[in-house]
Amino acid sequence: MPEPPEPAVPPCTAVPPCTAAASPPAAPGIRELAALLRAAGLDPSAEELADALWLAGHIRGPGPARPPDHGPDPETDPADPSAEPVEPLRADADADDPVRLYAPGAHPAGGAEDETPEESPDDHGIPVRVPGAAALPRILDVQRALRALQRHRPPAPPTRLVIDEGATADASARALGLLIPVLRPESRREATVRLVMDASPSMAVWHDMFEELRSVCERLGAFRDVQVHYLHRRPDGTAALGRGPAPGSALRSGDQLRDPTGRALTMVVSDCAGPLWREGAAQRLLHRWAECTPCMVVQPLPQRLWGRSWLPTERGTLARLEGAGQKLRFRPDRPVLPGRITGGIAVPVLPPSPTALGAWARLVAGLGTGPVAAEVGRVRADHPAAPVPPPPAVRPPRELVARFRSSAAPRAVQLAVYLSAAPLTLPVMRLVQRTMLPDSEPSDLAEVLLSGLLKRSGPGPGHWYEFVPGVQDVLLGPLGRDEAALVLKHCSEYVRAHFGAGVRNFPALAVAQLTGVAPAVAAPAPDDAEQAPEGRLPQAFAQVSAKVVRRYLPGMPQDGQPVRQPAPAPVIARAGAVRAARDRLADADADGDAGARALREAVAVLRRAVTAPAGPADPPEEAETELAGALLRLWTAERDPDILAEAERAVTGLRTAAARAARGRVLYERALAAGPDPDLLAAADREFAAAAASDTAEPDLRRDCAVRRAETLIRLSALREDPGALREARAALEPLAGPVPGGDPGPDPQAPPDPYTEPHPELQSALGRVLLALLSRTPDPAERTTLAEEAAARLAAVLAAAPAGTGRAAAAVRVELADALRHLPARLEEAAGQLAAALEETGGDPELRVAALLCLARVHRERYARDADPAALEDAAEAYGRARRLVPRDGDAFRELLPEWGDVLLDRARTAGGRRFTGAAVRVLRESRAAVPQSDAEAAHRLMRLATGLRLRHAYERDAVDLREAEYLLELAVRNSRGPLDRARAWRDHGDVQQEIHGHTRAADRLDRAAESYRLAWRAALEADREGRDDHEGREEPDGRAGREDTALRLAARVQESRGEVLERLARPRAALEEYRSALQLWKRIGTDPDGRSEGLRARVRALESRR
Amino acid sequence: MNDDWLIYRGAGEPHDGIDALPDPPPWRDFDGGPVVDPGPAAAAAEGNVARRLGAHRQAAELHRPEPEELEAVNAALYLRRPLLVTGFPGTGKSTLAHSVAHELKLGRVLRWPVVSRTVLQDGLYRYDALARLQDVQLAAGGAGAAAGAGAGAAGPLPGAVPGIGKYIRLGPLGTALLPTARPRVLLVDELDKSDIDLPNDLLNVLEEGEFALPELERVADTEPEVEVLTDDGTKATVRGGRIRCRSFPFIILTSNGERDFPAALLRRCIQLKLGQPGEKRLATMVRAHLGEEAARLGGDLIREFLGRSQSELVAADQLLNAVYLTHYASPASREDLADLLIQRLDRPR
Repeated sequence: MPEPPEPAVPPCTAVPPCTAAASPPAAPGIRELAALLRAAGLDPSAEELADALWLAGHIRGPGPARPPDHGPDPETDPADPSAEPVEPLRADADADDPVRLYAPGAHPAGGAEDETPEESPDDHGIPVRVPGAAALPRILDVQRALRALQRHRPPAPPTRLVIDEGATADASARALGLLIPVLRPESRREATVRLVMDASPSMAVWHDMFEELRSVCERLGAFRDVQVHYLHRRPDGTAALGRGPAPGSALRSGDQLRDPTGRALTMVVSDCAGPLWREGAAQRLLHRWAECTPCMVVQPLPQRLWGRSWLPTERGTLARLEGAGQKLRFRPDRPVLPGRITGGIAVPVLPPSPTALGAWARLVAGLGTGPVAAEVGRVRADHPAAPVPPPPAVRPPRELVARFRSSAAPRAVQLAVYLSAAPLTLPVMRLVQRTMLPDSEPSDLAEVLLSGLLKRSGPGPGHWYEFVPGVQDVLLGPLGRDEAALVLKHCSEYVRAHFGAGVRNFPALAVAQLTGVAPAVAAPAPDDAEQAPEGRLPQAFAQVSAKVVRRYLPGMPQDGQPVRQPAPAPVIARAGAVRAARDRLADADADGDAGARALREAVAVLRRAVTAPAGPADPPEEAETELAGALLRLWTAERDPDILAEAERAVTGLRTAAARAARGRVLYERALAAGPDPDLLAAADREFAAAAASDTAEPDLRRDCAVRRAETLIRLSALREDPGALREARAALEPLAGPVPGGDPGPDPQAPPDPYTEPHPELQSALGRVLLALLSRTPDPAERTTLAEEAAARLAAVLAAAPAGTGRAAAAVRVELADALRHLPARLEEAAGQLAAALEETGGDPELRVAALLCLARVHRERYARDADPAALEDAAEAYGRARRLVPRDGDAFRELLPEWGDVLLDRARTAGGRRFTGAAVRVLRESRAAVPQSDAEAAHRLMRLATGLRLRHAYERDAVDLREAEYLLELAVRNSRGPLDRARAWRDHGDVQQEIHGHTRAADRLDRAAESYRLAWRAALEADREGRDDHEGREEPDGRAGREDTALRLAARVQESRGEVLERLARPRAALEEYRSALQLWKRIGTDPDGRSEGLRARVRALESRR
Repeated sequence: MNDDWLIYRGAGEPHDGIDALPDPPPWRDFDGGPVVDPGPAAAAAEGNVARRLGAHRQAAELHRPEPEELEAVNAALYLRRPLLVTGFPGTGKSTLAHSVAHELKLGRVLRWPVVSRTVLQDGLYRYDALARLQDVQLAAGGAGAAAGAGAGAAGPLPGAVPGIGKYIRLGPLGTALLPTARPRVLLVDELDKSDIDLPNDLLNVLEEGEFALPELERVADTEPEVEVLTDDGTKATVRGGRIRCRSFPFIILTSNGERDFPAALLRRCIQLKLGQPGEKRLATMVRAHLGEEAARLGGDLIREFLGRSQSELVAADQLLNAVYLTHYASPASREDLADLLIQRLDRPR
């Protein structure tokens, strides 16, 4: 670094100076970065942060704006002031950083068109360490108690001898100065300890305790090694050891912990309640371990529950057998209960208390004198499985709760009541426990988890639970409204601390409704909500909050018995109810987020209304339809699948157009929530189509249905990769949207058929979008132009019709318009203008900005295709660079952007003055290659592009490493290619690279290899040709009109020619002649030969023939 | 190539890219000196590639790292931090060190195999006090015999006893920390097998980039410069009884993941986890080692291997052995042979 040396700065203070050197005004930025990282759950030390920032500065590479460190690219024209084209190519430091400072999954990926981000079950938050009270009570006492183990000496003899200095001096003195070294065995710690944690779900509560036990063992200094293992159950029922608590980790046989040397102690931490223990597998494994080494089980559950675990204990005394190594003898206090296991090995079972652990430690270390009272469990080599307990009788929730109440500790019962108002994930449960019951212990939470009131929900990451149906309502009974509000308040703080203030804080909203106080944190306004990464908040937060609010707020019907039933409105006339509900909905509209209550009331009114019989004057099915509509709005706010299901039930089997439209909307939402599901989309499409075609429906409804149908079909066609759906949508929309506005006068210019005198902008824009989607699936160029023109005209009409013409909606239309215009070479400037306007209007919406920038880059590429002006490529590259900064690295858009960007840079690097772009091209292409896994269909293509970039750079820089890398990448591409044509291209490039390497090394074997690569390319190309003829639906080449067959043949002909040339260089003229002739024949088969290749070939053939 | 920050490219082609490595961050800048010539064993002469790499040559030349591996290696090179590579046996952890040394022309890889009894001292240096004592006593006895009983108390003659440097031999870590112009490559193999204290002891040396030899410090005022043996078998001069590195060595710590390391170590290393290789990568490996033909014939073995690696711990070397041997065995006995060779590593013993 060019800065003055800073000798011996300690790392912490080194941060400000050195980072300041990297980017002078960055100090507040660093503070922000550190805060962001901390909010993301990372806790970087000053040193790590400094490392990351320093490295980021170097990855970015010294840009032209900075003084060159060591001759970066001396060929760059120093007089060229065009720093701009290069500067944007530099990537963001954070996104480029391989240390991966960003938290995975921090950005909602994809879902660009959704108005509200989708919440999928895997959208859980970032795992966060919650500072908590020590899980092991009196940890220092435990440490003190275990200190006896320092005296533990395994039976194995020590093996290392060291010089005993004192004894040596003494012996030498006695020998009158003759040095006599005396050796003594080194007193080294030989004992190791293996901590084995049962990984069954109910043990998750004890994770902290286990960690503390482990750190105690490490701090003890008594063990040479402290190993940590997790006991898993393999699908076949055997016990296995894993490295982590997650079941996905690779498992090893449990026998690995059997240590015949006897140096190891084994501590198993388990509640002995999981299936492994019931089946006896855990006991059998424990027996195998205990045969060689001392074992014990730490049973964290309260002692009164031990008898109910699968390792019941008996009481007695343990004593050390004299002269029998470490064997302990157990003498029971009283005869064994009938039915219990007898014989086998007695394994001490200890509570995690200092007294018990200390007594055991002294016993094992041989310090104790007499026998020690202990509880032991019996394990046998052939430990039988306990009979499968009868499936728990389906008991009413009341009875379940009553049984729990009678057997559990009072604090556990109270905890269960509190938990009924909280989302059931372990961090939140612990938080509720700590804040609501500060003096409770982990065992209380464990009791709740083992109570049978909860079940695990879903296979997703993290530990999520839900109550057995009905139990939550029973538990909520004794919970006061204020207490519920308090629990939710803690949850809301948790949400704010771990998901940031940007998400919609459902618990906070619920607290506001329960207490009647406006939420302390400003609830995000609807506009902000669109940008907030709402999808990250697990859905349970919304569902539980809603449930608690429904429980306490009057007027909210619920599953259980209502506690405070509002003054029951007797029989409401349906019409009146619908009117009242519409009023409330209007209120909800007016109030924004605070109107959530009005929305719920409207739903409540409608729910009662649908139970009333329809009067003769009521419009048919009106209340049901209205209810479905209101529920759909509630769904948008709460994302509770129950709501959607209720909405669907409300309109199932109804026949009016409005009801069918509502059903279509429900199906559409369900389809998106399911991921999206094409069958549900198709069902939604049928409903919309029926509603739109209905004669009785109002025009507004029909129009709305037509627009929604178009959306549905666009999605459906993308999912099924079938343009048929789009043609259908176009056919349905065209009569409604009227003829193409402006310009095209058509046969009958003035005949828009009523009832729509002026087609509604929504219809135009829907049709425009359909046309655009169709455009991307149309191969024929003439047809594409027509489609683009029509789409552009319709979208322009939308813009013209919009009153204000600004804002996000207008910007979105402008981007679509530009997308259409970029297919029309004459109107590219217009497209660029629209995008510039759009970029000004988008404001802070990153997704729309990315879309606009990508479109802009494509427009510039089209400009290059039209004008061949390299500046257009630089503009495109700049647009990609700007877009890149807005895209999270794990997003889909990122993967799609990179290859296009790399291609642009490649094209630019090929044109005049392209040298300074090669580095950027290689970097982007490298990223593009790394962004897809090797199994991806596109991997081969990206590999080949990167190889091309490297070869291009080699052409400028003459660095042989580039060629070697390209060679390897091409070999990889051959293996990853999906079809013979790709393979042929990769082999061809491979042959070219071999020739280039030959240019460096002059080694003849490179030419041999080149010839071989060309031969393989030729074979693959012919194969592609055969396949092309067999199977005509092979995808067409995007660039060539010639089609696959012809491309393959041309390729074959060209590689044959190249092979001939190589053979000529190898002084094998006869073989070369063969190749030239075969190439000539291929050209004959192709027929057309625009470049006059065959002429040159014939000349060569003649030359060779004459030489013979 | 200023836009492309990768110094180590994994292309298998030796180059001088290491000279383009920017200066270290100020907090990792070590100023040991003067420069010590690493000696012929570590010299990057083109001719002796084969001898330097020995049996690892082919694997090192053919090693093709994944993009993620590349990034981690280069980050470690830039930041002058050790690289902690975790992965199952046979995922190419050690090969990575040889590949880096080969491509960047960093000379012989200093290998420090760690076992449960290894202590830090083993890696730094060994002082053979007994041999020295023996020599001194022999010399004293000889001198005494020559000079008669009267002069015996005068002690050994200075010329008769070799200097203390003869009894000190630097270990792999000590050799890696010599102030050489180019970084050396140090492979600390299977660190997770070590005593629980070794990672912490190691951490201190890696942070400071230097260590002292108390035996030499004691005589520093009379013998400021001492020639000692290095792990390469050559001699290097130690000044003032301390060794401080100049260009921080490229250190790869490998771990089979049998134990967790202290957080302090994890924080100061660049971490890289090598996953279980997939079918393509295995095929590449087989092809690289045994050629195209063997890879084609061994395809079924690769698939079987993959199937078994889902549930058992098996190492990629076993696959290579199996493919190699079954290539020559009759088809009938192939399966039995493969089963014999690919035995699970975690089987009950």
